[in-house]
Amino acid sequence: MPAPDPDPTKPDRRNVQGLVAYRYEQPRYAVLLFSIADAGLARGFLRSWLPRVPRGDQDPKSLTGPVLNFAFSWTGLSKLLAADPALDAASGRRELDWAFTDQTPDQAAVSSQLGFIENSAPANWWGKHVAPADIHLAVYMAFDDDDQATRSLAEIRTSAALSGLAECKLPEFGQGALSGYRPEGGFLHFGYRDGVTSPAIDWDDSKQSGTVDFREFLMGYPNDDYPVAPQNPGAWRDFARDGSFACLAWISQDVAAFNRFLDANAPLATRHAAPGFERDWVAAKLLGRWPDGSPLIRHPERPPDRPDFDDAFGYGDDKAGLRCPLSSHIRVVNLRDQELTFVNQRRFPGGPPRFVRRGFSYGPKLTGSVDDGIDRGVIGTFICARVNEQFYSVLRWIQKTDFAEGYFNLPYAGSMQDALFGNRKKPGSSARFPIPFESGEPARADLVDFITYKGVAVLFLPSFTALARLT
Amino acid sequence: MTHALNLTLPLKQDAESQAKLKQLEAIFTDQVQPKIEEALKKSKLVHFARVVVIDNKYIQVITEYEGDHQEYTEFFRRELTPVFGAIFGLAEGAPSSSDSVAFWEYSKTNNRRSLGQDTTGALDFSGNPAGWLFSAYDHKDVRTIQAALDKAGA
Repeated sequence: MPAPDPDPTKPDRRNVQGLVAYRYEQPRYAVLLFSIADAGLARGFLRSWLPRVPRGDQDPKSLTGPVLNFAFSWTGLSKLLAADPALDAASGRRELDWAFTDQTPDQAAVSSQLGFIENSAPANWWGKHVAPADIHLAVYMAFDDDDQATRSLAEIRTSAALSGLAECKLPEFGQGALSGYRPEGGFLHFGYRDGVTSPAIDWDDSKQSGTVDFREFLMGYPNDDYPVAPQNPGAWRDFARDGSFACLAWISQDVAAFNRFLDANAPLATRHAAPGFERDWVAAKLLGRWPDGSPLIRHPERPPDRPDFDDAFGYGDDKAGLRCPLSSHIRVVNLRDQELTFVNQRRFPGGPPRFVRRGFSYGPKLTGSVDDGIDRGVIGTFICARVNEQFYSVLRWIQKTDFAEGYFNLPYAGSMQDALFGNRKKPGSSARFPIPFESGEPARADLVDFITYKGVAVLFLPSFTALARLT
Repeated sequence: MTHALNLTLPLKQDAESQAKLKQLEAIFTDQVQPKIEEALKKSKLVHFARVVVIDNKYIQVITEYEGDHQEYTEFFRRELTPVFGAIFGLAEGAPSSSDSVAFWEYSKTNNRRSLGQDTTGALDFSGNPAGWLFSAYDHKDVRTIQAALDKAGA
């Protein structure tokens, strides 16, 4: 029986790379970055490894490593498509998201507004070994164990070298590439459990409450609410359909500074946190969740006896941030029901920007407040369909909280920052972190830099249809 | 930080386009201006705005506004699609204002840099130092100014 014709109005999960549709269960990860020298040979490389790329309709539990995904920069895509007359670069520049083809995160036009300044400046990225423009292809890999990771990395590197791919090596990592692990229990280096929230993609366009429109993550189906590029019918839109952008970020976490901050500010919790929870209370105010993942909005004084993973909450009854401060990380990066400013309401008629987040930790655990000089952090992949409207917007909001009305009310200000991720050197922004209470003056902490961006790239994560054209 | 938009578009010179320009001029006060004013007032981002026609050869959209160029382009395009549609329809090489990528590219290409150099570190659409923009109130933002005026009972 022949396969049914694809529905041109809805995505086919079989056509989407697995990374978009689900979180892998493998414990070890790596992202290899390559420059493409010869398009023909590179196509051969992709073709030979394509069977390891899972489709979006597969069961992640059934996957055995190595699991691969391919993503491309605009330069990489242009090289591979140079001989494809229907997909010429000039028309691609006109049709595709300009934040992918032109104003990438390393470019001066956007880098400072996104917080990529001082230690996080593009000049310092990729260990200063790799020019952002040299990244053409990223191979995202998941492994069943360390031995498989070592074997598979050697195998794919040999294959890549024979295919004229020059690896952008990162000697900071033991594997010579962005690499790490799924952390035990999901706890990242700052001690918070991650992965509690993930958007439920509305694959069927059902508009069901609690789901997020698939157009937020996939190209090829633009409408008025989601004017996703390419907007014009034609070869580029067909090529991009069921593809996404994978915004890759190497984020270094200063655990010692974070722990010192908690120690120094724990006295602020006196009389507000349950006894013994003062330090965690400060951590919870920064994130908006207790370290175990329970939301502060429901558990303002102490975490529940068992973690509360019910994600169905909003901030409608905490507009002043008395329980969960407005500049806590999760209120900035996932707005839920907070009232956007008028301009942002118009920009986002389908709701505030969302991402599919994938990632892994790297570096050894650190406890205590003395830095050991070893780098640690997270390699994050933020999947979306509109780079400027989603990824860049939230990065801007992290640097300056002028996106929603509540932030303009005292003790807050539109110039404040995300409590965890803000770059405190950003001109015009304030490191002040007010913690208001039902009565009395708000407490105040002065934020420091907890993270540094060590590399960011916007990459195209093509569909299987597009991968077939690239191989 | 306040930025300047000096969007300067070459007008089509054929008789039909010039006639449409006359129509736009005729309806601007009653039909176009109120729509722009309503959107900009709600935005709390724009200090000043005007549309200028130069010798029927160029049309300019000039504003002083806050936020990075890339941040609010989509707001202006979405909120003022008919207005930009009418203006773009008169201009050489203009795309449909419903195409967000083309709208950005056309705006970037046709934004004219003012002389001199900005003293606040502002950048232009392409990331180069922006031209000079004088601010009598040290680039204070619209909300701050409005709040101060409200407080003063103005």
